Amino acid sequence: MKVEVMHDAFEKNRAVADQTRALLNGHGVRAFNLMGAPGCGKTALLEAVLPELLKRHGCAVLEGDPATTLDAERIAAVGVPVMQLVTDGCCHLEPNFVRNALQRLDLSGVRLLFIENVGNLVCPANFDIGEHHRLVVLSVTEGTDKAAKYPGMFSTADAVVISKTDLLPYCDFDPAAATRFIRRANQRAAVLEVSARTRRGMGALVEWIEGQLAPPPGQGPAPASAGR
Amino acid sequence: MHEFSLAACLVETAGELARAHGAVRVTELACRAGAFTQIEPLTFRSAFTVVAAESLLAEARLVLDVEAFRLRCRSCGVVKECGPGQTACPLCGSQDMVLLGDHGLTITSMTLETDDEG
Repeated sequence: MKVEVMHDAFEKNRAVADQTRALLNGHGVRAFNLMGAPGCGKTALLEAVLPELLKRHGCAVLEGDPATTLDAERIAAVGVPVMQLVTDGCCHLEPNFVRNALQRLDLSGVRLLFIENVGNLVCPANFDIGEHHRLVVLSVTEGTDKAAKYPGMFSTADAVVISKTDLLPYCDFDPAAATRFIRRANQRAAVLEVSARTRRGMGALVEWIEGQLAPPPGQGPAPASAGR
Repeated sequence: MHEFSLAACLVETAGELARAHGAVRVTELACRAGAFTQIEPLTFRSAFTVVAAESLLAEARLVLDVEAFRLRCRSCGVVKECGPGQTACPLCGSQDMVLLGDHGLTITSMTLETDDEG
């Protein structure tokens, strides 16, 4: 017997991600899925932005890596509660990794949760892990054309952070052309240029992150643009 | 290698759907992958074979339709099928283009065997 259907194969993953979002919403936490290639500066960006955010908000971090606890150690040194998710070689975080980790992370007082995904410009894009917003990091050392080659990743970003801009004089990176490629895949994402080292552009990134904060529970709805 | 994880999603969802229809075996599974999933068909087929082993779908023929990217030129309005890396509109040469495609992985049909069919 042939059965004609139109059935979403991601249905079960999405259900797990929705459970995570419900848990986070219950605690008034906004979650950011931080994605990008290995070495693009995701952890350095967190190290640079967290001290500023900590002045006003409780923060926590989940660090996804195929191996080691090195990134979690770096984040712990900033004074932020962090849990390392070691994927044992898996090239992306799956929604159940995050849901299970959050059962062991104390969310009281946390307003901002950053989930650093495994460094990879393809696989993580397909998996809703229960985040509210997606931040994709593109470093100037990777080249201008990354959004053209990996449109799936850039198409779902709420913000694209062009990182390591202090290295622009030494790289053949064209920010205008890179932005054109980003816009081809994504017409709505904010595009921010930052350097974690010199802190250039860091104020705009902090402002963007704080702009996504939902009011505390019971004080009105989240911004219309927020949440997936 | 997101193909393995995506194949696992597909097999799990299709297996549940088949069981809900009283199936003991799936002989054919048709699905459509959106262009933005960036699935590589050969890898996806291999992954499907591995993941489906010892499931209701172990012998299922996979009919896979992978959507091609399309570009819409914002200057002249033309919509053309293309690779994602196309740098300029093939008609007017403008670089102001929008990439079109779907993000989903959708099961479109299944051919099932039930116990009474043997």
